[in-house]
Amino acid sequence: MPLDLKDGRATLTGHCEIVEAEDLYAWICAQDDPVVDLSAVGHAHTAILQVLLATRPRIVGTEGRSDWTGLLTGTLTVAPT
Amino acid sequence: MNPLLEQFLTEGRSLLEEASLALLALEAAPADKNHLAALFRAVHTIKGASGLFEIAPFTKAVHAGEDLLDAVREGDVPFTPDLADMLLMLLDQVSDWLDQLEAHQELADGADASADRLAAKLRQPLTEDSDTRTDTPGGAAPPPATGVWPDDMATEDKQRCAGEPECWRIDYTPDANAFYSGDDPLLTVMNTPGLRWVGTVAPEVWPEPGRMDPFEARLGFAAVACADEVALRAHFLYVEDQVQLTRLSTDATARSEIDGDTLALARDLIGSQRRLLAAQGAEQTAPARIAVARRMLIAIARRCDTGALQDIRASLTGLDPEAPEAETRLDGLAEALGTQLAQPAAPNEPQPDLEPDLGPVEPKTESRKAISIRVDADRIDMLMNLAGELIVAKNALPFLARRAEQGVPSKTLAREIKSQHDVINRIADELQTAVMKVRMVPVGTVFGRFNRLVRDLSRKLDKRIRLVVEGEDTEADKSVVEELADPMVHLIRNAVDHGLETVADRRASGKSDEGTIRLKAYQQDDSVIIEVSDDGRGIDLDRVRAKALEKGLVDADTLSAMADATALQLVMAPGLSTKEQISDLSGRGVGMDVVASMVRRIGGTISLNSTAGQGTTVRIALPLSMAVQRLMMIEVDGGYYGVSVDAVVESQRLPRDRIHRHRDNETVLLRQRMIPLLHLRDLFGCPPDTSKRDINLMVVEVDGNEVGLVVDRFHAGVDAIVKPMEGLLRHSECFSGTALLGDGSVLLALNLAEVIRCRWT
Repeated sequence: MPLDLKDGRATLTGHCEIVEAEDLYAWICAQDDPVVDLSAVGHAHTAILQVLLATRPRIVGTEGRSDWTGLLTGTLTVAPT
Repeated sequence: MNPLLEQFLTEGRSLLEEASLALLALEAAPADKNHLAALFRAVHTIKGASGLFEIAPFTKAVHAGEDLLDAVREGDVPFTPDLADMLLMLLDQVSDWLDQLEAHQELADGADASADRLAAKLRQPLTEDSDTRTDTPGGAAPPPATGVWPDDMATEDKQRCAGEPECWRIDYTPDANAFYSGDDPLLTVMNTPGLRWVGTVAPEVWPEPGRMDPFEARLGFAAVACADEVALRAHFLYVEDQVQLTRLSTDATARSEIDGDTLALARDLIGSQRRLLAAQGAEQTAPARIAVARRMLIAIARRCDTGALQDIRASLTGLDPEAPEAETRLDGLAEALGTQLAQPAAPNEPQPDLEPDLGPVEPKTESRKAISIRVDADRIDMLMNLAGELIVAKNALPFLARRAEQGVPSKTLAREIKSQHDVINRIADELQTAVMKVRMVPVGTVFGRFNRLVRDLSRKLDKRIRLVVEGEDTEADKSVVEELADPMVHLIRNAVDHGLETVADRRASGKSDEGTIRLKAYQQDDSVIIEVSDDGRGIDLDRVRAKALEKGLVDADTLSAMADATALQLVMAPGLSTKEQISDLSGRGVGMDVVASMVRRIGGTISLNSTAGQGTTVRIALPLSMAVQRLMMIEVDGGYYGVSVDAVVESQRLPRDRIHRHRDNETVLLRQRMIPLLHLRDLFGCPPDTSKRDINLMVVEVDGNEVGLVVDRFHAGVDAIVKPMEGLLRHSECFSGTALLGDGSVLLALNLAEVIRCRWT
């Protein structure tokens, strides 16, 4: 289950498809202080990123990551390979 | 393998063949629209089919070729020999890729890079020659850098792009309903080639919470990537209307492109470091030598590093020159460095500079075994009929068994079994003939490839050559035709390189400017005859004689008594025709012994005719079919061996006292001919058998020489399917293969040429 919503905390796991965006959006809008845990997320669809940017919940679990989650806190620099 | 892919490979190869034929024809007659149409059609079909598989580089390169051809068809770009070279390069690359797909079901690493290079090259004429086609992406000269760096991008990030040859700003604004068409802009952006930086572009205001449609795309992206335009455009191909690319200015110092000279120098230096390491010197100088080599290698790696050499650089820097084994490890690293540097250059630049080194032309015609052959439907019907007859014949056997149970007298039964055997025998024979017919393919399938070879050679050597092909419909067994390719490549190369003169020389000797190479195939009895002839300068027989004497292949007396025609065959003797010895010979000779041995290996014979000043003809006679051979069975010390009946001249029982001995050479006089004897028992390491008063002698003829094989006993002849040796035994060259006998035992077929060589050379 890529999306686990309980006790004011949403946990995204693995590859999150576009279909999760609707549930996530509805859930975030219904919470007072939603927390979204991204520590176990892999790739997420643009729609998920869009929901997170539009609603700005508290994000945890992005420290030290150099993937798309960086876009939630600013811009992303990709090291040349 | 995936059947779809299998189909693609077969079709792709036949389309490639069509394309290259059309291309060569087009080169000869550039105004002919039919050739151009055929070429375009073939390339277009290959491109279309390739889209079914995940081989984007393949499709990309072929697409570029198709665009170029389209422009040629529209008259926007003129068809030139250089353009033909480029297209041939594309066809070669595609052929390599098909081989890779067949072997690994995917393209090798680096296919992307070579496809990019190839596509850029193919698109170059489009941008150069046609103002009307500026909308075509790509091209050698990228547009001027007009882009503005994204505001959010940190200065140090920008600085890290400095020195890149190309740097692009990507603005991606997805359509509102992009998600519904399956796009995932984030994924697309994150996978951008050469991506350096990404930022999001949010709408000015987000809708109120709860009022946003999460499936409507509102988020845009800005990104910076250091990659060439073609790659970027290809990446965003499906969303090109939503993406804007602008070139960013960098202080281009062209760091990533190492030019060919540097690379060649680097390879030379690596080579000399390895020689230095391998040099035997005083023990105490070893650490100094290692240290010097290490410093040099680090410098080379640093100079040539485009990112792929980081591991090697790290290992080199971390290597302690004082450590034991340092020498070996350093040598290993040098080798790895050499390989790395060789990699991008070798497969991706198919010799744009034509130099008169003939080596690389060869592997193109490597004997690739056909995975499928086209068969006439009538031949299949014939097989079907025979299968029916076989089933009927088989059904008679239970009936015979019942007769045996009923106690029919054995003589009657034997007669009935024999008559049934006759029926099955007839069907088996016909079946064999039918299968052989199915395997028959026209030699033209091999000849077709030589157009290309001759064209390339003629461009390389700057000689004008006309290739005339006759009898390409002549059929031979598929295995014979396949094996034919290699020897013929050698022969044609020889004819072009050594046989035909330059235009100036031809004029001087009163010949037409254009040299002719003639390939002729025809059937004669049970053989296919292939002739390769040229109208060049012919073989200088005096020099052949001189060389043969110098190399000690014959003694002076034999040579002076030798007829010209026999002396000419010396060209094919091993030892005379090694490359460095003969390349200055004014005739031909490069690798003729190799050709001769290839032809003999497939059971053929080869002969040579030459008239000084008028040309040379090589004639190869090959068996129509290699599958079934008639073998004469002989017995040596309890073992059975087969000798091809074609080679047998006669069999004789002679009293032992007819043998003449001279030192350890034994001969017999037979019908006024001196025939040297070869005791097979000696050759096979069996104890000699002197108990009998007579010897059994089988006289065989190999390449015009008669030899008497002394065997224990003769047996009947058999039709056998000789299979080549496999595994560990494949190197036992005295045997051409094995055949299964009716009682299940194995017969070893002798390779007479090799047997004789074992004894006398």
